[in-house]
Amino acid sequence: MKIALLGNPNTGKSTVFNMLTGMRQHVGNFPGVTVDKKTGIIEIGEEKHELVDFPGTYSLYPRSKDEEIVYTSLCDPANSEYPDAVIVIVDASNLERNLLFFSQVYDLQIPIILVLNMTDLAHKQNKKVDVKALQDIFPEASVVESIARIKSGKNQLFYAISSLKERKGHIFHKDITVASSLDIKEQEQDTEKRFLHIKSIIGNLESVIEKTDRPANKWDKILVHPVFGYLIFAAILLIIFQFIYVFATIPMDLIDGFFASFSQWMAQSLPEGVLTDLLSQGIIPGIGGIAIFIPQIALLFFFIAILEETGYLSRVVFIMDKLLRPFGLNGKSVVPLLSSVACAIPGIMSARTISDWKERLITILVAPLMSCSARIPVYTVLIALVIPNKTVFGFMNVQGLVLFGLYALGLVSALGVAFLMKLFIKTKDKGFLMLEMPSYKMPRVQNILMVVLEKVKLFVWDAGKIILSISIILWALASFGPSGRIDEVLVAIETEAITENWTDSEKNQEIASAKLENSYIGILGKSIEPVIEPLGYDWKIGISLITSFAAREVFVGSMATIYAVGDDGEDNKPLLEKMRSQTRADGSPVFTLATGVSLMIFYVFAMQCMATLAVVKRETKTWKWPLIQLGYMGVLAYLAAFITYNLLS
Amino acid sequence: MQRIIVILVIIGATAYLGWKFYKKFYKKDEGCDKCAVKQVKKK
Repeated sequence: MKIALLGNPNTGKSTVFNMLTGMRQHVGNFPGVTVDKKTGIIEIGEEKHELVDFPGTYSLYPRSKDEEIVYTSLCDPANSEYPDAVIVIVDASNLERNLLFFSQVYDLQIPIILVLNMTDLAHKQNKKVDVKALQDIFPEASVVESIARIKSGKNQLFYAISSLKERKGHIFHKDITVASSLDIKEQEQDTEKRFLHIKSIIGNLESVIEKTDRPANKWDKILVHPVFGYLIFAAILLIIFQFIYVFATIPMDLIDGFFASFSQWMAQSLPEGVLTDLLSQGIIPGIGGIAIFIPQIALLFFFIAILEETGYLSRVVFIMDKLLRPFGLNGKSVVPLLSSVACAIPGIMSARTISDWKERLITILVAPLMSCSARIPVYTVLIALVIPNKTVFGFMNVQGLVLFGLYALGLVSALGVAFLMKLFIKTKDKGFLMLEMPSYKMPRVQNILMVVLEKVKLFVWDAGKIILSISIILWALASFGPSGRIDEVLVAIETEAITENWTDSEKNQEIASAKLENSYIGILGKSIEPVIEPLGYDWKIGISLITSFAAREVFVGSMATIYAVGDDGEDNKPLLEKMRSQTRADGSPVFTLATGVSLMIFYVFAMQCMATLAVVKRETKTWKWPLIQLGYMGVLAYLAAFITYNLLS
Repeated sequence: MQRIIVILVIIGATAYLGWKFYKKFYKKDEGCDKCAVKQVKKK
């Protein structure tokens, strides 16, 4: 049986999903749209059912792409996502608003279960829901009380699923019917009638025990305070980034060491040949280049999940609205912008919740300026390369501070660009913010770990396959060149080695360097060198800039691959050492403070992500906006890197 | 033999990236535009 899991946002839908499916989950896309489709298996004895987690919605009638999925899937029996049964999560502490959507789904005549969730919160707010009265109003629905956070109500829900029955045609109210078309007026009339009827019956369903100050209000006085609210949010962000930087280093070093040793072992153990080279210089470093980011990505999502689980993120949206509005953004832009810190793609997709077209477009256009997790590896390598690992003020790590600075620069530039775009993009509509403040909750470790696991899995499988493929192609481009060209150079080196009396080590280093320089990738890098020279970059960095257009994180993999080609098998120093030892023709080091910071600044601004451009095209339905985005970010990156390099040189 | 395996791996990686590119930029969006509640009514 295919069961749809539905409900308003912030009703604990994901918690119920995790409670019912455990670890038996899979994340994909709904057909034709780029909205996450989370499916899981419910096992009740020998019974197995598929549970599909649908996007949260307040009404059956869609106002965004996410909500449209619910509408099209439930209202069209021919739709591939049409369910055999539905479970609707209703927030017991907010019954009146939640019943609108439930009553609409109830009228669709699909076998239905009403999960009255968060009854503990309702109790804290001195509310009590009369379950029997609720059951009388919806006689064909199974009503189950639950506190999913602590897995209360799980067995009752399993029982309700096993006992689902065919519907007999009962509807919410004889004079109210679901709008039979996409006509807005008809939908509005239905919504109004339902609300009025729910208002008239809510008194029988819910009783207020005693009216006191909500516990949430006490916290809100501090967390949404016009001054302390912002200070607390900034402090939380600073702590998060310090944690990520300091704690991720240990597992990252372990992963790095493991892959370096494994690659070396492979090169020494397998018979010499082109396949061994591919494995030890292309595939193993490529896989290592994916695995090394896992600790930082996991930590970032760990903290974002905590902020979301506690209900604090909604407060952030609220306080940020006032701050963002002068920049042409909306309080809801915080979620896309904050999500873009992990990855711009889900960030851009989550901008769909912004109803105003102009605010949504500006959010989409500036979201990639927020430093995404793909930039972390680039920043990590460059910071370790040119920024000293020192402590200031007794506890602040300088490298961590620089990382925070890069993230802050991303945010400031996103706001600046948004402000400029506000002046250029014209619209008649005036935006507004409509927001629900969920109650504060203690985060559940299991839910947070599920989010972390899911995001890491997505990164490893989705981005990982691309990074690995690019690593292989890079290795090939760096290992082969136009026929005859490399042979000619090798003959010249052999001759020079004899006349100059080079040692074997010196000769091998020259051969490796000449091979790389005359490979396809070397030729490509050299051809763009005149353009990037004013930024302080050589042709090897140029190669990485080209390849990392596909995805930023490819930069480090590219550097590793490029320098590994020059490895004669005896030199096993890590990538950083190799980068440090790189010199220009005049003998000066390539990676000075000026070059390193210039590169970091370039990556703060440059639109080095093919997948993001594709998503922007899909979201704006035109090539115009992704091309504008590519252009303005490219110009900004070049100019900022040029100025930085010249100031620091 | 080693050379053949390497060529196959390189072709595989290139084909995978090409397919990803095609999927991201060119594959038709299969949206459901005709769905409406009235189809439920018809049923």
